[in-house]
Amino acid sequence: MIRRSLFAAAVAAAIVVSGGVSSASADEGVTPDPAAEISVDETTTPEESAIAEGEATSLSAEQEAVVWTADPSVIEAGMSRQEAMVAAAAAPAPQTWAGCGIGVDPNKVVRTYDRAKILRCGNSNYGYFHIKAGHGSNPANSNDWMSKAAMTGQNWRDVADIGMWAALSNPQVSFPKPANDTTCYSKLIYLVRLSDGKTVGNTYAQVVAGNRSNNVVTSYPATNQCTP
Amino acid sequence: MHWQQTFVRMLQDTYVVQRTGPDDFEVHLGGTLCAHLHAPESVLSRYAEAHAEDGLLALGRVAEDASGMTAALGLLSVHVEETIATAIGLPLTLEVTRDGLSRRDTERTT
Repeated sequence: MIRRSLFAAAVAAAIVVSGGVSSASADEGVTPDPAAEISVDETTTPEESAIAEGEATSLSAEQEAVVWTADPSVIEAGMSRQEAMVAAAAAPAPQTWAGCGIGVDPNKVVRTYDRAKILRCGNSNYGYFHIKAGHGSNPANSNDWMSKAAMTGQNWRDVADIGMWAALSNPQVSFPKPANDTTCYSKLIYLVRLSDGKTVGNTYAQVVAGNRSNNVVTSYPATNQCTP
Repeated sequence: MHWQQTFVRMLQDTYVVQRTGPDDFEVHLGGTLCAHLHAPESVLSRYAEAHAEDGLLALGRVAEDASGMTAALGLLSVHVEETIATAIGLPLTLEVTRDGLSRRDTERTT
């Protein structure tokens, strides 16, 4: 899963950010965009292989926090090539969100994440429909997944899924709340514009999920980590 | 069951909650006033009853309450938190209704 040039590496990372969870489409049930998937370059050099295979497991805490960045200016400075490679190597396989149509069973599974957390169709109170109504495509709220997706040129579900995957697979903060039996998970993610691979912003992806039910209640892009 | 007390206790996992009246509270985080919250006992009870099924579906038995009403308030407390976390400009003015959380400063409801 290696790209030949530094620029290509930046693009690769940008694609990973989107393609890792390509074209999630709970409403329409659309299949993933093949162009958004990570491609395989057959002309991988030994050096690149070493970066992808050897260094992927040796990230510092700081690098871990910025694994999603793909800012080409950083790459030109010789700092982010590894990150791009690591991002490519560590990205999850592309997944399409299962569809949630009218009258669907709220228990229907949309997507399963790490920590056994499950995004279900749900309704206005939790799950996919709640995220969609409150933070997916609400024009009254400019600090939502839709606004982030507009920055990167993606579908809001793609950006939401990337954030949820990042927060649940390797959270920077996980904050249990015993009174309502939930835990808030969060992680800083970088927003990479697909058209040119530039980092155009960042946000803290927060996911709240039940401790015993394992159901995702909500997710949203916040200005801070989960607050202890 | 004291639903207001249960609801406030849930919010206190994250916030400092100060009562300012029989049905009114101030919600603080790190010394910052995040929201004015109107949450009457009677309305919380009606909300919990109306959304008990959703509470059970989403969270299961919270505090071993098989009715789902405690879980429903758990969902409501999450909605308060996400509304504050994604808000642009604090403090908010929030009101609990039978249907959910109403944001009085923009009339947006979650």
